[in-house]
Amino acid sequence: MSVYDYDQIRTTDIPIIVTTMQLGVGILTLPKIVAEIMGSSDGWLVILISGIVMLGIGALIGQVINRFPGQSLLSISNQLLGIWITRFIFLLLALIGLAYLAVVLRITGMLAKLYFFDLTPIEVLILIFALVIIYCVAGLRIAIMRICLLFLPIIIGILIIIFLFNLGHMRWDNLEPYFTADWRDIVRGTATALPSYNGIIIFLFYGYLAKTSPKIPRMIMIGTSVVITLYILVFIFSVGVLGLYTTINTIFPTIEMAKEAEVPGGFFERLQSIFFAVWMLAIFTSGVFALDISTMMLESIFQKVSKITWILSLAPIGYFLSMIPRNEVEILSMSSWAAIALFAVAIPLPIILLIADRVKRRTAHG
Amino acid sequence: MVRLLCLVLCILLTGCWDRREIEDVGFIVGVAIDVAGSKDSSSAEDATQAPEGERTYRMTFQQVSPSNIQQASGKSGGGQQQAYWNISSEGNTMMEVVKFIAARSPRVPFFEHQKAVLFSEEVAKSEGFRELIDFFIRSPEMRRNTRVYVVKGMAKVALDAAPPDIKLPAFYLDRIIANMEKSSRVIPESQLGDIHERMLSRRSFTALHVVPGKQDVSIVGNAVFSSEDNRMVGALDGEDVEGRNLITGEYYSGAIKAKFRDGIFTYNITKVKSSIELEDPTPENLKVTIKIKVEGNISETFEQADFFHPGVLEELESLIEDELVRLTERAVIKCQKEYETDVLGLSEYLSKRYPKLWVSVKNDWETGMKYFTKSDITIKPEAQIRTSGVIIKSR
Repeated sequence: MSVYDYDQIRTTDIPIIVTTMQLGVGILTLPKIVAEIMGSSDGWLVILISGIVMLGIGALIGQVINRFPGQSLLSISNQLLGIWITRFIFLLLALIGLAYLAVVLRITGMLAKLYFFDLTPIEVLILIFALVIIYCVAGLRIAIMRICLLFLPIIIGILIIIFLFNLGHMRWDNLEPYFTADWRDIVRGTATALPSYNGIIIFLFYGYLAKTSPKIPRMIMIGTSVVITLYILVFIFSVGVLGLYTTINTIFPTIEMAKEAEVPGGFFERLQSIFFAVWMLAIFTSGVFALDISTMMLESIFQKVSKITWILSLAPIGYFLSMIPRNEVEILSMSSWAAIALFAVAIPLPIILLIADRVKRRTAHG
Repeated sequence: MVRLLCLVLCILLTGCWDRREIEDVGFIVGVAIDVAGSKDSSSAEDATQAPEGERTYRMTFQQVSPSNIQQASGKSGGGQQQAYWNISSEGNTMMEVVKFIAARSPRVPFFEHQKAVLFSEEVAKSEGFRELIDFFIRSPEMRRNTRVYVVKGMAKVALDAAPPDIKLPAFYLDRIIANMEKSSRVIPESQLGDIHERMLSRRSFTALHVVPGKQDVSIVGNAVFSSEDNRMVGALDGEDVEGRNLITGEYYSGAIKAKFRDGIFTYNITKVKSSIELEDPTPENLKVTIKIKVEGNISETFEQADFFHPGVLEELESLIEDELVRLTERAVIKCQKEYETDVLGLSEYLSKRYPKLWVSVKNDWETGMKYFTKSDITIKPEAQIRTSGVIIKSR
């Protein structure tokens, strides 16, 4: 039995895949945006609350997949919403995916240039990254799932290492005062933190590859819980190690934390290089999903055009889009627009589908 | 066709813009910043137009010569090569000076392993401190745990002062601090990250105050920086620092000497626990009590007595408590009345336990209404003697 017989996602692999889908560029700025909006260490609370909300969405995604086992999202949506609404939504999603790809490409290029490459032009860095993403997307969809299985242990491993080696620098009194946020801050904070879990919706598009099982919703929730835990830990460590004001003032506090990590005895001085290399894996999977979903959506609408044609058409567009923001402020602004757009269009999708399903069943009886 | 394309693309693999051979990397391990002196201007050719009203500084960079580290192993006599090279240049901004030294150095400056930033007192007392430190915090190459020092006299002298068996003076400083915990009194240090956080949160902070000798560097205390304009406003000497440590509770080990009858005795502190209590929350008249509990042993005494007698122990404990009050009040007077900077931890206490009160006073804590200066700080010490060594009397 060769490993290439893996043509359906095993149920126990779902948490791993869902976690990989959510970890990406977001975690690098998460402590800053949450600390900024909350103004205190209570950010962990809003990360938790928004995570719990997304657990609900995850369960709904699982339900949709279970009601239509083995069917692609195109087929499900056509049955429930009709061809034209489906085409409209899919077109929007394709555009959002493209925007996401552009954001991922640009942020990756910017980070690589800022921290590591002084002379190499950013266009080259983004090009190389884009080429690898294209190569991955051009393969089988199930292969992308296998990549998640391969990468996640490494990604979580490096995070745990960063946490462990920062324990010595952790100052618990940086987190005080506790519980100073009022309900207004919490609402605003939750709204800010919600888009960090956007990746969860990606699984809806790959649900057809999953082996039929009643455990799917549970597995999606387990994967999301891992993400919630990691996000809370990143936030607490960032405020504890760097300080609250520093976290608010640093653009990528997670990377600065990686710089602080120290192995006593001067064994590793530049842990951030390893961290960055590993985090490339996480960002890479985000980019792959962005391009793959765009492709999937357009393939579904225009079935006569081949997948590779779409990939080779979309990727250059994504590349050019990634060049549009002129500075950091514009990049982060484009990124939050893409996140809000995805949240508005894609997250309600499982809800809409389930409602449509219920309506259909009722009218079928009546 | 595809094979031809692959072959052509392989040409792109032959170069790399950011290739850095390890021999070409100039590891900068320490930077010293002084005010530019006209008599020392060996770099007149670097002179650029200074913007209106801006000061010129002289920066000295300690660059490691990796190949010489093996050779410079403490053999007295000639022919010994230094493991490092101090190179100086003058300019108005850090970046400008870095470019100047890069032009004169055979290696590209690389700051990732920097251990120390040293400011001369003159620069620390001017706006130069906070202006120049921006470079160190902002650069992606910098590390937040680089230590910051204030040097009495010329800062660059400290980059040459090291015992013969230590190869890099910048590392020597690090070693002293690492050993401080175990050997003598602890003087609180400041790293770039700490200073960044303190400056952002508009708090006063301290840095290590050092005096370089020919072959050693003494850490004499703390340089105190005000939160208002981040300038050095004063210094805390050894005893002030002890008092401050007792108040903040960050006192790892140390000894107190006090007069006992006709002689002196030494009390070795093994544990310190300090807690702050707010007695009166009215901003104009804050009353704060700081309870300091210390535990320790008698390690030395000139005057003999029966140290098993509870009365004697009580007498000693009360003498210790008096000494604690003397040390801490010294620190309080210096910080509160003379320098008007809160480096005693009061602002942290308020912001954590009484956040609402803190929000109302924080803008006038050290400036304006000066609530910190007006507050009333009382010390309540409590000393415990655990043992008196292995004997009771020595004569």
